[in-house]
Amino acid sequence: MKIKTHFLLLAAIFTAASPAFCQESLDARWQSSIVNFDITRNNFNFRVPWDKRADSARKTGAIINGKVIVTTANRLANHTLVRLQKGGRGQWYTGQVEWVDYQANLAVVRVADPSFWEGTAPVRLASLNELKGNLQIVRWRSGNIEQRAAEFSRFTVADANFNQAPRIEMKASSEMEGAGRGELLVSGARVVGLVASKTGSTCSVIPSPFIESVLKQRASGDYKGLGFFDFIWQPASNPATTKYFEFSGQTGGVLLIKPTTRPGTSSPLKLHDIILAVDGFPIDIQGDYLDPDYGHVIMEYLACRNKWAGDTVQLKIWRDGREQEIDYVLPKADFTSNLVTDRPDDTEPTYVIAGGLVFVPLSAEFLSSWGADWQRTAPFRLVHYNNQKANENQPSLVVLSLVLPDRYNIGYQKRNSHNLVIDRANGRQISKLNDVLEALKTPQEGFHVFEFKKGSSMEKIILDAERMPEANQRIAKRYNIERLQKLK
Amino acid sequence: MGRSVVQVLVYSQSPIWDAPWRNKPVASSSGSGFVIDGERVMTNAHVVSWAKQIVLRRFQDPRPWLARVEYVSHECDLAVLKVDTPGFFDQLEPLPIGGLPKVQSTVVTCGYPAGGQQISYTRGVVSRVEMQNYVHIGNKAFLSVQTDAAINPGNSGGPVFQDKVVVGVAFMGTPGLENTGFFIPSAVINHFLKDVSDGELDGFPKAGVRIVSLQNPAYRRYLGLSPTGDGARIDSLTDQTEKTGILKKDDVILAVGEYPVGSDGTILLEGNRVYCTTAFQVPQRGEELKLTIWRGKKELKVAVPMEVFGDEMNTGNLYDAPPRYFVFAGLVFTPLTLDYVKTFGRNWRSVANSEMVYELYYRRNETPAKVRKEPIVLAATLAHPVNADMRLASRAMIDTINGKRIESLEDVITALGRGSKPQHIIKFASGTVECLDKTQAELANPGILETYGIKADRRL
Repeated sequence: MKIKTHFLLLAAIFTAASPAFCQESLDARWQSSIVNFDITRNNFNFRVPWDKRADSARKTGAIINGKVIVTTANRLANHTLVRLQKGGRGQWYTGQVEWVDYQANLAVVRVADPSFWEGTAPVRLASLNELKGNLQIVRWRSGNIEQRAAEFSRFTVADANFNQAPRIEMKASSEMEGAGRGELLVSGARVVGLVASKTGSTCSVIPSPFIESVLKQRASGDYKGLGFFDFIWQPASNPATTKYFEFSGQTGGVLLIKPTTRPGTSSPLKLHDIILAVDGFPIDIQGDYLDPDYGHVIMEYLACRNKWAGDTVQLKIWRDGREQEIDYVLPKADFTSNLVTDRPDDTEPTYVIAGGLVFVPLSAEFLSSWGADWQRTAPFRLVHYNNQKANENQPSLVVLSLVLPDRYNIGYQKRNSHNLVIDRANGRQISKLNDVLEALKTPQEGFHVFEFKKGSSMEKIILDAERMPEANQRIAKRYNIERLQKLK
Repeated sequence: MGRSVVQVLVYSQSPIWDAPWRNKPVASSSGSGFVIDGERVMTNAHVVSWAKQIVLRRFQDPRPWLARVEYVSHECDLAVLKVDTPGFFDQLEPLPIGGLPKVQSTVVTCGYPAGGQQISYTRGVVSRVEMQNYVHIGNKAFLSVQTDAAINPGNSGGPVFQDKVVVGVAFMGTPGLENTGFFIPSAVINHFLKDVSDGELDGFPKAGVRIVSLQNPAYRRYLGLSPTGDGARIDSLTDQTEKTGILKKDDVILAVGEYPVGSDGTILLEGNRVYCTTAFQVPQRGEELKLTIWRGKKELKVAVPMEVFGDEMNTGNLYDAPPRYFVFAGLVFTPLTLDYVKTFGRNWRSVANSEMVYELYYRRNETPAKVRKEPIVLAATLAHPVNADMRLASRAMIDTINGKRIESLEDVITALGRGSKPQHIIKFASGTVECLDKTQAELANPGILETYGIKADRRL
């Protein structure tokens, strides 16, 4: 293995002097380190939550030190089988996903079969000063290494789809078709990052220093996940606004407009504090700071720049007419307690079917079932809950997503009975599916009474309590549903 | 009959809703109309909306006759025109208005489609009779009649005949559907004419209830009704109706006037099953609607005073009244209306921030206690050094100004006159705040109005 590594290093040195040798050496360099993934997974439809549909996906990963493969977390959710192939052709091996973090968008996969590792070599991850020059995207394609030039664009901080968990991303343009599935972005002999997605010709790349810092932290056994700033700010670029809040310091900083986004949590920050610096980095009026590694990026990255959930960052703020220093403990990027719950992936959909009424939690996954453009295509009222805060009595919501037609529920089968948020069932406030089940134990004088949020297209549904078990059996049989409830 | 059918030529100019002191270029269009009792011409509201000039052309008469709108109801898309020049109505017989034509019966449309100079007749049958959303207003449904007789642009406002009487006014088609035109039936026409007979347009009153079908046997038993009988259920009430206490949730409407209501919420109207709100639209404002209801396992007769509520006006298309606005230091404030958000483009629902959509369409039903009488938006900011540092400069709903909750355009003006600090502070519904230097804003205001050609800083 050592001999191989030395050879690769020599090749890297030679590459710089001989462009004609570039293609051959690049192929040789990466063919022992890039692996193909073939993932079989359950692709759940959260609007038909009992239905399991097998799906398969292809992607790329890189062998790293310690006989493991690193890849992006994308497409690994709800996997049932992970197969890997080295050398771009030949035998497939079964892999085990050892660790996955969907916020960091990284996963580590092991292969137990020792023969897999024969002839492989770990990649070397680029350091911070090696990220921008002579970029290429490489992957296996039809048994050959495919490489395409890429051009560095900028560093940026990306949010997850539903929440504010930040992570650093490199933007690079490339014409590689269908990229965005864990391909390696390389520079010379080093891996600059993994391509997480591609829109148009712009690739979003997870940079190697970030990958390395997460993996190192994980290896130490002290990885607590990514933290984030649980507050919302606006640029303090309007001098009249800063004057209004009697800010007389040097120009810069951002104005806090929501000290916390999570109900029931306290924050050391107050409305209209001006955040001037984070861990000694001055924040400019746009909310950016000058990162020594990545240049000007948005301040959100300071929540994960060598920091993890539970760590403390020091904020310099302007409050009550003077500068103050406060400690801010980074909450974990965990959004399971949002009003629209954003659960970790790898969980099957939960539901309760009662008399053909299908109840599901109002969750990020449910809204995402309307597609990538869910904010436009999902019912507006449901989407709008994503902007609203939970209240103590109802920390989460349950939706009547659809009605499976049966003579028992006749009269409630039209579209105006779909996608309604339930308020109470048999007088009991409903926040979780368990509440629905509990409520069903106490019918009101022989009837189940379901009340939906004020303003819903149907505010009340009533069903016969005594006949519900019989209807449940009939509905389960007719619609081929194995279980009428799934709570975990 | 054709002699009493006229061509309506219109020059119109509608406002620009996000620059409300300006108007779009003058547009020309044409429609049809017909002579009715009282030396008047009936046509569609959409034919004469925003009209700057209306010219009528009589059958085979080259002379232009200037007309004016006497009454217009945008909700039912009807208008009555007057001609002040003597002689127009000479030899023109008013056309009588008949009843509801039967399905499958033959009707003839008459008018000046496609801008042609000669009158055109097309024959077809009545396909169906039902409640339809009237696209001119956009947020209200009335009875309408579908026919396969060709109804094309230019036919609008023309009469639909059966047996030499008018049974409707042609008014819309459906893009993508062939041989599908709609006309406004005589019940709606007569309601409009009766409404304006006292010299004032009140509009169609409503009961303020949402009626849903009552077909689930369990729900029927819960209310003490037979599992398969008639009657539809009141599922929810508007805030105003709830306060009167006359109707309640879970009341079952057994009959509207003389019409028994089926469990699907329909009544049988001259052989057609139509939604029962058709019968709700019969009384005039202030009149009572007689209902037979089922409440507390008893049959009751109630009389519901019918009122006209203007609270949904801004969720429909607005006409003829130019938008209200106030411009201060380059900040353009105007009410949140459907017409305003439509300036964002065809996909305005995905462009508008969700606070706006919620306020416009959902707030009233969900949290009526928090409804603002007239939500106000910052529609645009006319660039000037005094406001150039504002980051949020347009398409944002106002929450407070100088601490005052903004419920109307007048509140904006009042709020900008108060506050003890040297800056005005504007808080938006999203939580974002922006400030303006008071002294500089006052000084800059006249110059900004001049620069941008705004004659008046407000239209209230």
